[in-house]
Amino acid sequence: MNFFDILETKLMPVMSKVGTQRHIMAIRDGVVATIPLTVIGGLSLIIANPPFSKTATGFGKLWLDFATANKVALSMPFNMTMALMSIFAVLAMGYSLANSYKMNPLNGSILSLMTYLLMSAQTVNVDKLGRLMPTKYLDGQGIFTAILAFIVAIEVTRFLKKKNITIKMPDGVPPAIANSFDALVPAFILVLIVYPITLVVQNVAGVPVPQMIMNLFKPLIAAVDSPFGIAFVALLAQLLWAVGIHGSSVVGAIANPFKESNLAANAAAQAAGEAMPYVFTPAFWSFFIVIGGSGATLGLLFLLFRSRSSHLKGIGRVALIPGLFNINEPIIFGMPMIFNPTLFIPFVFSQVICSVIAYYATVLGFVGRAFATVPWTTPAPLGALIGTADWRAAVLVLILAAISTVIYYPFFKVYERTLIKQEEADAAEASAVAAD
Amino acid sequence: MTKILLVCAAGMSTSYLVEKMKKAAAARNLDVTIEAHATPEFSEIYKNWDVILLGPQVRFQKAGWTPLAESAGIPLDVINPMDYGTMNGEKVLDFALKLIASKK
Repeated sequence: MNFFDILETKLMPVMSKVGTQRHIMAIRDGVVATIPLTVIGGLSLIIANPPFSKTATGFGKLWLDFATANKVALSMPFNMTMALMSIFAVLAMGYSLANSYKMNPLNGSILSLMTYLLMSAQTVNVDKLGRLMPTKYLDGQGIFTAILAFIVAIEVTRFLKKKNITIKMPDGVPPAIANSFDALVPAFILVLIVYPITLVVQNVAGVPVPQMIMNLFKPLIAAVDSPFGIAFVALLAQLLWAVGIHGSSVVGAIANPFKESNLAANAAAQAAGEAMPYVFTPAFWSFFIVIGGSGATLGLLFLLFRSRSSHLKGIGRVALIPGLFNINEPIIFGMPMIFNPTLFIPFVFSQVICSVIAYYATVLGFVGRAFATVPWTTPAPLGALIGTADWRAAVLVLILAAISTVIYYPFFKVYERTLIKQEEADAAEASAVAAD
Repeated sequence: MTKILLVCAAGMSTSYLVEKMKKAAAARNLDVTIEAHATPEFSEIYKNWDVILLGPQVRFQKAGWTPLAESAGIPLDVINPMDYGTMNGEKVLDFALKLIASKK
């Protein structure tokens, strides 16, 4: 059994489990569903906080003055989207899990949100303004609480349904009306379970539930937001890709809540004019690690395009356009990278090396930290620029792409030579056949 | 009208293949609908197709999805990795048509 067989036979069953596990998939769906809102929120934040210092002149000064004068209004789209991200995520996660159990997804969403709000956003009375709901724990930092909430909400509902604890409607009641009562018993039971526990936890721990959960997760968040943590995620995703399994989607399902929580903390800090705490964000992953696609293959496009092997040149042609948008399946399956012992080392390790360099470039202050989300299909230098609002991030992307190309180069040459030999042998054989 | 569904993680790389397959089908004067979708959408959309093809990178979904597709009478298989990598619309279209024919 060779190395790739071991990877595949050991990893495939685990990946099938993770990649099809309904709670993990619901978390993934929830995070994916909020992407449009985090993109809008990030843009609003950039507009409200121009990347210019007070000494800027011309356009920079105009923008800065405008933003300073209208900060509250310009920040509102951020406050209504990204700063409430976990509300949207819990709706989507509850929907997805309920759907996977073939339960009413709308009720799943509503019960999940109710449970989450009960845990996280107890209102306070403010004179004249009436009841206000604090939003402090409703942004991405509340994502771990949101995950707990939707799982509790859906599983309790499912349990009640399984035990047939429902309000029976007489025959002839339209399904829509019967459905609305479907949620009543679980809602009641969830309040009875969740609310007293929340009150007890608050009084014993002295902090709100989401704060306590965040405190519990803090060591894990710190471990993930370290060079080892980031490199480990980059490595694991790539080991999967080496046997042709969508590594980033499987590993990402687990890593995404961490990235989103970090992003929310950075965005909140940026909005408050404070130093951003975290390095590992969705933009960091998309534009500093998987540059041009998994395996950091952006620079490799150039080598392919210029290759003397007709196969590699052909792949270069197919791969060029998608590759600029970080889609590199043509390279992964066409070159191919998968099950390829010659290219295994650069394919797996170039993005790991990029991740470590980018980590230190960020913590040493050479590039800004990301606080905005950009769709991962944005060309990497542009995505990095928007995500961090720092032009130096775009330069770092180009440097990383160059470094990964240098890492690929010797292995690429060896592989290319084998292919050229093969192609020449094939051509010679073909002409020999033709001559016969 | 032949309806072909392609599924990958985000529905992105399959969408490139869809374009190539459409070209191949147009050249043969075939009446087809081909769409690319992301894995999270699968459970909601899988029923209304003649054949379902998975990108090789999500082949770990095959075991879980085959029973669903079978109960709907739809053949489901994984696209050959090399055809996928070279975005070979012709071959993947052939593969899809062959799967449909084998079911009938």
